[in-house]
Amino acid sequence: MAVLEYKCPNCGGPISFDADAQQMVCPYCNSQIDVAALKQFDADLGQAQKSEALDWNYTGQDWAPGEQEGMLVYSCQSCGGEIVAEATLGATKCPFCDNPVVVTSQFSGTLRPNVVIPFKKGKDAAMAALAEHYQGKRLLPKVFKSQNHLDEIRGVYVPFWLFDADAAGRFTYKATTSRHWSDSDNIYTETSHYGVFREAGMSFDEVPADGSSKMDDTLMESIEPFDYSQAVDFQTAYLSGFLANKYDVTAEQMAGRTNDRVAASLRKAARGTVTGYETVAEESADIRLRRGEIRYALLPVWILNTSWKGKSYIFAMNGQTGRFVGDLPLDVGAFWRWALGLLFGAGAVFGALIWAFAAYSGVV
Amino acid sequence: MLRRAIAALLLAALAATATPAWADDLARVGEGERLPRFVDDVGLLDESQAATLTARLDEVSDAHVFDTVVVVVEEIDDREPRLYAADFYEENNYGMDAQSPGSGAILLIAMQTRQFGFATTGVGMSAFTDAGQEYLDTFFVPYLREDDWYGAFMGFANAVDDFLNMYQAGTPYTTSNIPGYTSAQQDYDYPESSGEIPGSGIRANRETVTVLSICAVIFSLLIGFGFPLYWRSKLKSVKPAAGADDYTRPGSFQVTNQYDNFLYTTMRVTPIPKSDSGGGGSHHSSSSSSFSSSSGSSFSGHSGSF
Repeated sequence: MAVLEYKCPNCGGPISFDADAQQMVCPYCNSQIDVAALKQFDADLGQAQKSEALDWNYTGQDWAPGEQEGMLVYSCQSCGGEIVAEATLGATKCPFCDNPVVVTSQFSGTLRPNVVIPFKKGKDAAMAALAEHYQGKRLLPKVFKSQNHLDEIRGVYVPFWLFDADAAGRFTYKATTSRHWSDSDNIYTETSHYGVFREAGMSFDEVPADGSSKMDDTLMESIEPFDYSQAVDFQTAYLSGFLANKYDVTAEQMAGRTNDRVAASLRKAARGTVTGYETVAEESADIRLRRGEIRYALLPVWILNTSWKGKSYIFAMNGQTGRFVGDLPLDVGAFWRWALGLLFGAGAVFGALIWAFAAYSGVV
Repeated sequence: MLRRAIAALLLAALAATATPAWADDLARVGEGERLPRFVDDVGLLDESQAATLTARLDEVSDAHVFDTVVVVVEEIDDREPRLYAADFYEENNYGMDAQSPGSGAILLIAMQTRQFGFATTGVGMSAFTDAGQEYLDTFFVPYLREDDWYGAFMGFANAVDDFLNMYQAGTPYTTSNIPGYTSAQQDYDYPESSGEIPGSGIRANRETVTVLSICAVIFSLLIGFGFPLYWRSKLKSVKPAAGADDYTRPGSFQVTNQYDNFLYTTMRVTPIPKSDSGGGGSHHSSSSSSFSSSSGSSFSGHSGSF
């Protein structure tokens, strides 16, 4: 198992990527090392420590055949502790010495991601976003903020498939216009019916699809979009200090969801060209997709877990843009208190006004 | 000879069946007796309302020497409602002056078929012109439609009072002095607020209060549940993406073929609701609503439904 730890060129201490500084930072001597400059070190260090790793990996008792399926077993390069994790784990911190560790074998060969978007938002930003997320929520139970506590906050590089696609479609609609007039006896409504046809196409670049079964797809879609202009070629150095998983859902498995999204956008764009009518109803849609390049990317996501009254609440923040999402519990009692209070309050005000009007006009 | 006798008998039988069955059948009191001015066979009003209405009818009647009568029956026969009303008026000895029948007006309501008949005689035939009778309906028909019986009958009593005041002032309601009147009957606008007319102002305000009350309930519900539902929606932020709009290649959308073909046209004709007042023929002639009761007396009036 190839495991990589980045060492400070200055003091030899373990270093990790800092989202705020956008550089590798040594917590011991405060040295800041440029990621690009570390690229060469990456290869050298990987080679240098490979032999050490071999020595470490042969220590202790071997796993029985089949026992390691679904597991990742590696030895920490700093303290030598043997760590068992899920097979898809690509980067983490050693539970014994807290040193950041990157399992380079998870991202080598065909598993190597094409691009990575480095974290732009740090842990403090995620905590601040969570606090802000609670603000202005009138129906959030007051005790939720005070009683719940963060079980875990993790900066995770989530594997995504990025699909390029061309979509073309033929659409038919039924549309109507109408005009109205009247004479002394009747109101006349003349409705003109039209058959509308549109053939249109459009292209999409890098539509993301969550490649990790551990991440909820809807949660990941909720923190979109990502700005790919800030994506860089993959370097393991960016993973240092964060969690990372390799994909365990293939591009083929996610193609269906991506197709749906692409088709929905084309359908919406085509519908937008049917104008000048009072009603428009889609009659048929024949959409053809031509898939282009698929790329593999690691995208930055902060995951925050909290629990309250025995139920888990998961929040996610886009590690690049700071977009924060997560469903919150409803205070049912507060909902009804507000509803009935507003209902009767408004009713009392309106009732008083109407009574005053009725009294003034002699009705009562 | 026998054939002639049989034919004569058949003709007599036919004549007997053709004779109106209602001749003299509406009388409820004997000669020289009178019914109260409010007769309620159905029991639409409670005791207090009935007493108040009767007092008002007596007041109007005495002030103008003009019997003002309101009658509620369960059903009527196949007579036209205005004729039924005229017969009821005549056969029950209504009328206060020396004319025969004595001057007065009657509003008769048939609940089963929700019809009404208005009939007037004596000076009423001049006080209630055709246009005036259209106008008269605005004082009680809207209430009848809402089952506000007390409001309808009080509106009628107040209107009779006002119509006779106008008549006695030498300006009975005609097309020239009815507020909101237009030449065509179907274009008549029911005045929403004409405070000068007794009853109509209160009616307009009552309608306004009703509309305002309905609006208040709707707005209260919108406020009461609208805000909490909006706040509840703010708790949910995890939603699937609707499409891939954020990843569209700029300028890539192209419409390569399009056409819009006209197919056909449909027409819908919706009749404009009309006032149901009628039975007196055209209201453009002052004599068109005149008719004769079953006994041959002259009346003016009209029928309608609600």
